[in-house]
Amino acid sequence: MSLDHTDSPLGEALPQDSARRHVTGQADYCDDLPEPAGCLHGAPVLGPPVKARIHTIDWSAVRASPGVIAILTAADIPGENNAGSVVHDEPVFPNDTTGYAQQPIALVLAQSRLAARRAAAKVRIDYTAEPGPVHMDAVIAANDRLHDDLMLVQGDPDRALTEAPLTVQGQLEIGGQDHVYLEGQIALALPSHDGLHVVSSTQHPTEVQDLIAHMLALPAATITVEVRRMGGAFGGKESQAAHIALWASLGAQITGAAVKVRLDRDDDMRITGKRHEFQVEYTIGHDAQGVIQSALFSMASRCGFSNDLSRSVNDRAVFHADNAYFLPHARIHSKRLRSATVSNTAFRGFGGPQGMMAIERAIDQIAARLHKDPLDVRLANAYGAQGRVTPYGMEIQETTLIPLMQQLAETSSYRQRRAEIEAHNAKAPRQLRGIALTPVKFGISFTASFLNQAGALIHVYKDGSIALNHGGTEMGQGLYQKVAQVVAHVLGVSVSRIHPTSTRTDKVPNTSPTAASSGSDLNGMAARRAAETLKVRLCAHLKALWNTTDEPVFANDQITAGAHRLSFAEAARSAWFARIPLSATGHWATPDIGWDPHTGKGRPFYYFASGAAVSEVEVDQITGVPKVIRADLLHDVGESLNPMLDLGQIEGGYVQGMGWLTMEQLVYSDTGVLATHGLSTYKIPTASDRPTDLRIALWPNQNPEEMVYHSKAVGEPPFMLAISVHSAIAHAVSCRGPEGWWPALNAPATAEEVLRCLSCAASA
Amino acid sequence: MFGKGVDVRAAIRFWFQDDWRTLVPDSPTDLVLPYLREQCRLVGSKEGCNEGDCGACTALLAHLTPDGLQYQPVNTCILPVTALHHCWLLTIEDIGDVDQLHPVQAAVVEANGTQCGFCTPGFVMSLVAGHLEPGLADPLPLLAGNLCRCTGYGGLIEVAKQLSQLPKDPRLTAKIERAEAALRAVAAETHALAVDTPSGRIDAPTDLADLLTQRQQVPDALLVGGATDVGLWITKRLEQPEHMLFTGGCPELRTVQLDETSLRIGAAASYHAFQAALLDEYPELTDWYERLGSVQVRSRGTLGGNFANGSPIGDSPPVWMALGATMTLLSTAGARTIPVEDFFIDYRQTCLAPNELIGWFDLPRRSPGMRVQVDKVSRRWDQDISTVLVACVQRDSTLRIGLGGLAATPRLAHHVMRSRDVADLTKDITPLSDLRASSQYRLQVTQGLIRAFLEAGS
Repeated sequence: MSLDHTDSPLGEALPQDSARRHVTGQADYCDDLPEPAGCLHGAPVLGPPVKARIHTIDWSAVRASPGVIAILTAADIPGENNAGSVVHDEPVFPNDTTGYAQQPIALVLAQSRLAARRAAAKVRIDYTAEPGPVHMDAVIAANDRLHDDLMLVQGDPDRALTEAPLTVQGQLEIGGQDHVYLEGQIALALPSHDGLHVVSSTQHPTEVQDLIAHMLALPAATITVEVRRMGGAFGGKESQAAHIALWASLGAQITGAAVKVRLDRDDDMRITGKRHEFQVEYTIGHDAQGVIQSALFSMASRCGFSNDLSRSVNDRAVFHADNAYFLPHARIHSKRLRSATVSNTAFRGFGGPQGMMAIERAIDQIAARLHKDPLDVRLANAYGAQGRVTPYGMEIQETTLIPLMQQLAETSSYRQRRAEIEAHNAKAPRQLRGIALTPVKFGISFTASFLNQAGALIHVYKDGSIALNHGGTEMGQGLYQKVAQVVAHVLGVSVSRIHPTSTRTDKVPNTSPTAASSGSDLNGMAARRAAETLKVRLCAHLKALWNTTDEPVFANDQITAGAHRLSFAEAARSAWFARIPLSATGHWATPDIGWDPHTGKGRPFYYFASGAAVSEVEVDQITGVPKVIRADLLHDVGESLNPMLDLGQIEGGYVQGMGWLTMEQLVYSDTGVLATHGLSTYKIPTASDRPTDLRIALWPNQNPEEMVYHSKAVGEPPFMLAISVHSAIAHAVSCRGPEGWWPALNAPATAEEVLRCLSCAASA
Repeated sequence: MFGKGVDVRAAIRFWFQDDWRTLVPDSPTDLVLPYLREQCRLVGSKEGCNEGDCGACTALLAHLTPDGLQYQPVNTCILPVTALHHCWLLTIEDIGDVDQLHPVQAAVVEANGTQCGFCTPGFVMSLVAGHLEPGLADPLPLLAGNLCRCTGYGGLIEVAKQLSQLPKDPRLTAKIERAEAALRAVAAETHALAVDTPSGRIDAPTDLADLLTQRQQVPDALLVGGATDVGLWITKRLEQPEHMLFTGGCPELRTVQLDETSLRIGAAASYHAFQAALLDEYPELTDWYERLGSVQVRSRGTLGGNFANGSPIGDSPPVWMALGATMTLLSTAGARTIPVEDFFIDYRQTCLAPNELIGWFDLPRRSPGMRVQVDKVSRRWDQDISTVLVACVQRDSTLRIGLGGLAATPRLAHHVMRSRDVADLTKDITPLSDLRASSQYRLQVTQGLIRAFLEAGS
């Protein structure tokens, strides 16, 4: 079955809803809105360059700095001093003890942003260092649990390991990642005596609203949080946007003036959370064919000084330790460790990418030892070959993985190219080459099950124009366009009739974050229901009007029933005259999901998104510099709502993942000061890093579940296609070592890390 | 301060939005991006990094040349407003409207070149620069100064490859004609500037004698070339120099001249200005050139600035050292010419006297049979700071090796140059460990690259 696309916008390749405004510079982001007269600007005052106990603060130079209006500290907070999203353990401003180096301790309000920044730099702090663990080895040694471990056990892993003929084991270091959303964190708070209106670049307006309400001891109903669009987010504005919005709101509440806080890039990088660093130890028992008998993983992650979203991030890492492979017996142990660094947070994939890395390394090791093509070991273990039940007890219903991998191997000429590459490497060239095919199976749903709900609000106006609102936020992924396509489909109108409006907590309340790739699933379903409600009302009205029992047909901006016909605008006007309400809400709650947080067992995901990638790399033996020269991506988005947007997510996710696994490296000093705090030192991919030969295809498939119209979520899963880059680099390096050897390549595979492994190859 | 009869302007004057603008900034450190966004309320240009790395603030600066207008993409976040003087500033607001897209803009929409859209105006400006200046249109170098975190770049590269096929936009063409006529009408006027701002002084003389006199009289004034580094002192270190003395107005300092023995490059000539002459003579430097900053940085950055700030990681000094270049330092007392390697004394210390400035560099011309190998190792291929830069030059029997990123200053590897044994590198340098790499890595890679050069020549 395929969607009939002839007169429906579903499945149409349409650009992002604001594309024409983007290219002309006419898409307004928070900082582009006109500032009210007297608007003040806030800049954070950074704390000592080490976790510390603060004794006294000399504010005199700050106060005397030109343009300064006020300095806000913890003492100025009327309500709860909390910015923590789940656990209330992260203060808006610390009282006297900081959790990490350069944690903000106050906000300077001044007449201009530059004046505020200059003043904030003049603070003098008397403190005693109370250093805590920063680097991963120290964090593991300190072993300060932020919350309970999760231990997921399937079968009898120890016995199965003992009985397995062969084992591989190893340890993998996995680095963090800064989001580098091009629009830095920002909020503008507009006070009035009726309440506070806050424009915030956030993925989670409701949480920002709640935190502001608690901080100011005001009812949530008096706080409105709004976001029309973000200049990128990637998880970095799920919980992290709250700090900035809280500061602006506190300033507005205290001064009565509008307050804008826009972080400078370097402050943004110093004081906002990042992808969690992981260290994973693993032991895998397997047979002579490479079939896995038992898998033991022990994960430790650096969470930072507070909880933030670390519990869910680490849960997701546990649920993805299997990636695409059946583990008949498994034990997955996850430790969530406190550190004296900024609190790590959501980032595209949300622990999934870190969770998957170890099994992919282990499979490469198994293949090397058995002198097999790693693809054959992957196929032998993929869900569907040996079994279908995940370590958390959920059965994989779909049979996508193996045929998808096989088709990609065919279309990319993987086997032929691998043979050519090994022949090339045998000639001992300066540029080694490597290739790998790795799959992705990614679970779709918030693992915090209650978040799997959404609301929408649709107004039809008398002229037939339609205002669409929902709880999802637009960060570039194209959500507004996809949901507009859903509504246009239900009402049989052109997409141009639908006007997406900014996400506001006073239109759709109690929303979930736009995260977990769930945006179009949840909001699309909610908007579909709202549109269906309107359609039912219009049908009833028109049937009465036309005195017909024929079911009206909504298509091509018209409504027809037999010989009766009205344009959509005429129908809307007619309904208004007949006093039919032309506004409707819709709500969606994903059914049938839930799991036990103590055992890890259950159905955490509604369905899975799958994909696979073949990456080919070159590695310079003198410098260690890796370069991706070709990639073939095949990804399952179900019945695509919009292939243009889906292909964009796949390509962008892959390149972002490639950055994470190659060049992006966070470097901290021993006291926790981030050394790579600007775009001059923290390097994300540029145009020339994209593989010059990049081929992307969509797997022709339908989501067996109905959401939305059998499409699938696409935001995060393609990020993990880049694991093939890491594996391909290891393949290139392995060719310099003895038969059966596989490098212990950590992530990111920087030039230095690659050269280290090449040196190991020489002495292996 | 100026000589008698010298005509100067007390305000910056530039062509903008189809009209002349006259501007007396609040301070010498006023930058173009805040001017656009806060004073003009033109918010299409975005601030992404505030240090000239991401390109979201890219605009075009058009200069009048004998061949017509020449367009340079610039990072407005680190561009002093002084640089606008006698130029035309084109921003995203000049290019098209939602209902009437410029062909480049329409192509970006069509090619799925935008997701969050924040970087998009900057990309469009770089692409428009490539559309107007075919010399800039090589797709990947054209885009190297613009970061996109969403798209993976595919659509944007596709548009960059199509630029020569895209039609001109008649509305922009008409604007260009008006701008060119306006700049021509004032071409004969002086370009010299002497501006008193509420919090400091700007001088931008056009006469070398004036410049040297001012340097002599106010040695504390900050000498500024293209401001690609000074801009960061302002945006990141929040420095507020009270007097900025711009060198780029003097034609002698912008010279690019090839004679029988050498290529002379003025200290204030932009990288872009000497690109053709340099790469004609030394095509081996093409990668080095294209990886140095970005189009935006090379539009403004100068060789004089790269030396004068004394950084151990400047990309030019090791290459100029290996090629055996000299530099001429000027003051009111006269000129002195030194080998470039003698310029550096210690970390960020040079031999430039308080009354001196760098005049020009003389690069010996290529000789038959010479070999040149320049390797830059950085985290990222494009637009990154060197972890290690190694320049090896074999001219007749002479080997010269310039090193960057390995010591407190750029320097020659004298021991290895004599012995041709890479093991001697440890006598020349003890590399540092920092956020880019460890000492061990730097040493190993440098030895490997020198060894490759020596082996290729044996």
